[in-house]
Amino acid sequence: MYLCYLKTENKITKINYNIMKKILSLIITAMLLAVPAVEAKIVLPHILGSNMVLQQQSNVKLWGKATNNTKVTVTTSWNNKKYSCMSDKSGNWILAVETPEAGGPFTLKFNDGETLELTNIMIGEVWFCSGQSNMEMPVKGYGSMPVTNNNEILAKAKASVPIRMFTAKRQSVKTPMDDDEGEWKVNEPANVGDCSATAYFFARFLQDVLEVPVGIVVSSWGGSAIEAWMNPEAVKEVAPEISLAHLTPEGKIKYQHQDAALLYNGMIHPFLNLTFRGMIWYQGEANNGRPVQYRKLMKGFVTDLRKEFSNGDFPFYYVQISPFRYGGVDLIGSSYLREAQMLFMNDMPNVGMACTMDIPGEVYNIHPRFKDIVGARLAYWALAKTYGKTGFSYCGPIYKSMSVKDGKAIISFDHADNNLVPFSENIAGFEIAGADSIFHEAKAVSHGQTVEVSCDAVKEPVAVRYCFRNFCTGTLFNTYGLPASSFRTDDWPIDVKK
Amino acid sequence: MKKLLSILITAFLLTVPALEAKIQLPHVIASNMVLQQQSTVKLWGTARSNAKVSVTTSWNNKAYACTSNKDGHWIVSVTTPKAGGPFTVTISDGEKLVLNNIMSGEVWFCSGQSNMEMPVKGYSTMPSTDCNNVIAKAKPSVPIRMFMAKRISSKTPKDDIEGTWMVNSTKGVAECSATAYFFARYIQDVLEVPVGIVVSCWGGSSIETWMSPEAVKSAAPELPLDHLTPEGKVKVPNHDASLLYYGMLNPFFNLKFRGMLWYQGETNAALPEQYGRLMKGFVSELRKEFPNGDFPFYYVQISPYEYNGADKIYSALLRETQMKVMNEIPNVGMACTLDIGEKYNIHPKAKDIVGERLAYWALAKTYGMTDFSYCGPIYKSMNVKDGKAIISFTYDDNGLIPFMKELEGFETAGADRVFHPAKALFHAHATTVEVTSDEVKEPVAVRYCFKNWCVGSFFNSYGLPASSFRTDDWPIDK
Repeated sequence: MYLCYLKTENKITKINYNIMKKILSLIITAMLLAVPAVEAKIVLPHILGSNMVLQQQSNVKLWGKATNNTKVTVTTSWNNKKYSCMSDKSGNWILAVETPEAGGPFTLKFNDGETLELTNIMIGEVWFCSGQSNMEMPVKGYGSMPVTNNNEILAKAKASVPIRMFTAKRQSVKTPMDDDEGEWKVNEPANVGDCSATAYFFARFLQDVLEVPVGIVVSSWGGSAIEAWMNPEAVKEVAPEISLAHLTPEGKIKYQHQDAALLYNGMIHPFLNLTFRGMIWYQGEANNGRPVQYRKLMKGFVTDLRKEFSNGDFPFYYVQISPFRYGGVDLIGSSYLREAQMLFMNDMPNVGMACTMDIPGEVYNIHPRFKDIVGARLAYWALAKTYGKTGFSYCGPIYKSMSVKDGKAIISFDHADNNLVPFSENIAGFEIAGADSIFHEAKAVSHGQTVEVSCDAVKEPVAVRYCFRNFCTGTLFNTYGLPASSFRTDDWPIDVKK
Repeated sequence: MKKLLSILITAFLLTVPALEAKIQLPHVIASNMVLQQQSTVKLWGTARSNAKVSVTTSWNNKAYACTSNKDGHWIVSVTTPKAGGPFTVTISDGEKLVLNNIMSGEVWFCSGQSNMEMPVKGYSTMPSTDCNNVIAKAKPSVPIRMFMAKRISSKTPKDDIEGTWMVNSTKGVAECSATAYFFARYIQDVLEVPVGIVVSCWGGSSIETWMSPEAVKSAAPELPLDHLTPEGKVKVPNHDASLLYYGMLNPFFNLKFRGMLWYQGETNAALPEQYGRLMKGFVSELRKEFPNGDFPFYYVQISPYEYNGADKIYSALLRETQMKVMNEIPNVGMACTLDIGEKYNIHPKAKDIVGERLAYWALAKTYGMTDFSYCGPIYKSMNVKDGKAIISFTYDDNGLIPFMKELEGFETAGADRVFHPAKALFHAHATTVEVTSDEVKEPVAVRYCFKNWCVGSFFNSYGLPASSFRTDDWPIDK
């Protein structure tokens, strides 16, 4: 009897407590509603959103805005850990969270009193991708300029494949921005169709091999020049001849995608807190005609990025521009730019170049369709040098040295992995000159690691050039099928108009 | 006591002639089959006359009952679940018959002549692309099931046709229609559900042999039907009207499927105008006979081939008919093969591409997927400006390719109706082709790949080829 009474009383108390709780929650809700919504809410930059990939096994930054001087708490679902920080007087806050081994999907909860939840977040490998139109070109192609096999890739794209892509909106500005529009997208036909083909094929290759989620952040603009992507300080340091006058409030902008620093401000600066594994870059066509300056700009660009991003000396893999007619098929101007790109490989640590000399030529199309090959070649670099895989080739033959013997020039290469191909047949695209600096078409035959170049008209060879024309199709490879870069053995004065 | 009784019963049953006691099923209802998912499908067969037949489906443990008629025929409808399996179906008239390893998924009916029939392993000396690799890697764990119907020609309607449901084994794949298989493989890969293909075809068959006498009479009264009378003489078993309709379609009229694939036309190449009438009659009749209403019907345009003269144009007229049918029947689509023909081989090897192009239609129009192309450029209109003919297209998805390159296969004619080879070119981002010829100052008509043999030279930006076409409707001496 006594026990029974106790039980009953307990029940009553519980009910009262529940009613109390309800009333309290109503009051709290009413109070919250009275506070202006904009101030109360956490606002994240577009790059932090549902469906994103965070770099695995690292400390990644999360940042945004909230009411000023407010405590912001972030809960990561993979370890149920809470991280907190205070927003500053402008409402800005930033903190770092630890990420686990690749996996997902996970959630992130942000709380400043109100909760904001990001869902379907993956932990994996994140790559930052930039450049001009050959980076921007979507998988669906530009009008009349297709991407190889695009229809099948689109029809078969499934969200279950953990590739996520973020394409940043074009934004050209005079002052550094903290955000750039864009949205993390899953691997579905419409999203893949609009994604950078070079970046997508790179991501697909990595995802396939590493079997982890891969995220790509693509920030690119067709026709852009490298100096547009650079911090003004970096431009000033390596190429003081480039004007920065347009950056003043009254300064006049000529080309929003080419004038120095405008895309750095709009499309690089918003991502400087991003933690990623490495960067891929496909650019150079817009700087054609300025090869010597380009090499300096590239060094300044990469040096600066490695200072500004939070991941130190991250790998930087870039694509050598493809053969294209430019001002004329047989002119040689753009060969100097390809040369600058090739030589840049020796200028800095942890950079690598994907060569596209052989990609079946499209003489009138500066946007070769074979982006799958480009993506694969960038992926070879990443797999070999960033992920430590071995047993395959990641770089095609690169000119090393020349010696002359019995009237023949003998050319040696680095990266002639498992020897050169083809053997025992003439290799097209070689030219040879004597002391008179006049080049003649040459015979070229490979012998293992070297190519023997000769010409009846040149008794004493002084210089050899290979595919040193605007438009030409590479014919020399290593045994793994990676093409040799065009090159010249001489350093005779450059005339880019020739 | 019980044991004794059961022995007695068994002994009794054994004395009854097996044929009478046992449930008989048509060959297409068997272990390993795929049933169309999320629908009501019919199961049918024979038993003793006036016998109670019960059918139990393992996915919901539901029992359906019916009674056979005086001829022993019975039929029931069962509901199928979402794609999945393997399941069993148990059919009993007292004695149990169990069908095993049944999948619920997407079923496609496939018919036509040799290019549909051609197996994955190829015809002798006529391979299909990559066939060895495809066969060697075939795994039964991939839920593709195929039923190849045996050839049979008949003057009267047949209720059954021989064939076996095969799993995705090396043997099953090697013998299966390559066009149907590559289609199935493609949609299986994308949809991630079991796919069943029922293939009923015969090399060299005409379209009229796949049609009922009534349908033939109404579409093409000029075609003879007298071979169908008991004393009538059949000239060609796979050509004369209605013989395969009776033998190879009638047995399937209870089958529920998602849609149909059709690769046929070469045999009718000499009579393009008649073919258009027949095709319309054929499709509308099937949509009445099969239980699935206006099912999607996707067909392949015949490929370029020399026939009896590479420069003759009659098969181009058949291709034209096939192209035009797209606008004349609802819910049909054509896969163009203008770029993958072989001059001396009427059976092009690139069946993987054919299957893929049929799959694009199905994925886009039947399964509602978007953001890829399912049809190559189709001629829309021409106008003439400054002595140049400007041709526009539908399905010029994301522009035409290749640009800045002279296109092969164009001809133009003036008022004299004499065609001359023409220059044809388009620029970047173009959706029109500009056609000119020095011989023709005032173009009146343009033709593209309008010959028996030709190779398609332009595409939309997703890589799907344009169909051959002509802008004129001039009488043609074939």
